[in-house]
Amino acid sequence: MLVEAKGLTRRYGDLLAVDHLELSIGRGEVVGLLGPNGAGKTTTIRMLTGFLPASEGTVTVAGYDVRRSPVAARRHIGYMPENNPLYPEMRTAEYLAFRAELKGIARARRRRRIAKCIELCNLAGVAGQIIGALSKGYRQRVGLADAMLAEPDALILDEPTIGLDPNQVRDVRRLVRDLGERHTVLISTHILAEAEAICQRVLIIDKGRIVADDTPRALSERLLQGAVCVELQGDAPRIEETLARLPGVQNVQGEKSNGWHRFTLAAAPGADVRADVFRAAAENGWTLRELTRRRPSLEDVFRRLTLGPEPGEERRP
Amino acid sequence: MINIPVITKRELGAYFLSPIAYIVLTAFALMHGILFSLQVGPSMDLQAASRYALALPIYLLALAAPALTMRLFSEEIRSGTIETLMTAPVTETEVVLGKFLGALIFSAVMFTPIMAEIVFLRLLGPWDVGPVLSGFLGLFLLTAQILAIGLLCSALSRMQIASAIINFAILIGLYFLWILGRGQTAAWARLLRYAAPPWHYLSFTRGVVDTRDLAYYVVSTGALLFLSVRALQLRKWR
Repeated sequence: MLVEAKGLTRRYGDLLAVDHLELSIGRGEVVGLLGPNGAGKTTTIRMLTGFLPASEGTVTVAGYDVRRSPVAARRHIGYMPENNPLYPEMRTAEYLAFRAELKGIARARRRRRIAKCIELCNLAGVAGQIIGALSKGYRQRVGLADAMLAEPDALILDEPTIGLDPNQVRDVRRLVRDLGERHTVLISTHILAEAEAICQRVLIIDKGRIVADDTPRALSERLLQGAVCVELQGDAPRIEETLARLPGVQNVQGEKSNGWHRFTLAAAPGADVRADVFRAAAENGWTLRELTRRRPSLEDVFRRLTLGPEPGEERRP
Repeated sequence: MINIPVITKRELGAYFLSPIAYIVLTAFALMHGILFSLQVGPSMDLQAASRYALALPIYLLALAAPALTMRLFSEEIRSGTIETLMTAPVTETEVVLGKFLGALIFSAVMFTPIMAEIVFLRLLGPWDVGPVLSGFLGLFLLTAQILAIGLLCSALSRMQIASAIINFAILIGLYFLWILGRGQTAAWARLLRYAAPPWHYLSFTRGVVDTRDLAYYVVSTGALLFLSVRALQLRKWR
């Protein structure tokens, strides 16, 4: 295991931010740390990188305890903190040179590594510019270039796409995905599509605990059934009753909007109830306006795990 | 300890890229020059003039030092760069010493007008340069101690202004001890005097290098730097 946390706990006064968290990331994995704001993502990452002392528990990186041998552990980590703090008065190349020296890259290798990272992160055009004058997208790439400078085993990126425009988000994601081919990556985010696009494994964290740990696909399949949305015109209570009786339908949720009734049917895993819904509509003479199947998304998994069941979801008509 | 020069270099770079550093340099040169020229006249003996040139920084330092040290840590804490800095493979001790050395070297640049005045006085006629040499040693020690106080204040606060005000208040307090204890012979007065930074410095400007004065500066500076390292390790800034 490259990064391993055991019983990791952090208290801020009475507040338990991270609660006996267990985590292990193997070499070569690209792992997403997902959670709502305030779930403890940043606190966890700060303890993994050794920036914040843990109240309890241990973290080892490449076998080094981050509290007992912090310098050795940090040599294996490339870290980009939340909001990507940089020195605004320095120039891009100058900043990378400072960071390379600080990270102990040998003089002979330094020039080559800086040039390589500037190339990988597409920074050649702004190498001589003052960081404070760069756009957010460029600054983010400067942060990424810094994180990968020393070719660390593990890249830890805290919300690397926050505050970027859609094009910049796509660029940064592509970069992170490329990095994942050579490095172990731990990326925190609260954007689910991001985790789905980049990560092979997703850890969902809520109230300082890991509540799920699996591939994005397995998570959505294991935890949620497929859902079917249908919009009909007719006698609402009767429609609801009929739909609920269809084979494979586990629950029905209705919502009325100017004459049309919209229902969401939760189906058993693997069941496709669309044909039955159509037949029922035809038999009863209801007008059918919409019939769609929604693949359960990570969004649903996330909501389910971090908020508990939705109100009404357990209700059966 | 290999990273100290890396950090010192960046600190110096940051100084010379910030307007506040140039304001401090200019203000120090102006104030020192004006106060010096007001005091020194044709009738003043050159030895006394050189001592006066070296005594002036006592007061100017109390104004300049907070401006020089306030950003050292507060700026990094506020902007979050402390996180990238402290997750690089460096130790807290290296960071504290690197920043401290940066401030000390910058102060040496700030003191160049004094050296110019001393050279000027020496060109006017012969006098004993011994006290000037010990005076510069004392000035170095006094500056180191006062910068270490500022560094500690900066390591405790995320707000530059707060760290500067607290630092200034501490310096005023320490100088006040000196003023209270000056010229008195009672035990309490000697005790107050002994705690005050300027009092130890003055004997250096008179050409006296006393190991007690040396020890006072070395021990207090070392203790302050150690506290800064601890403050940085705790990561509990306000």
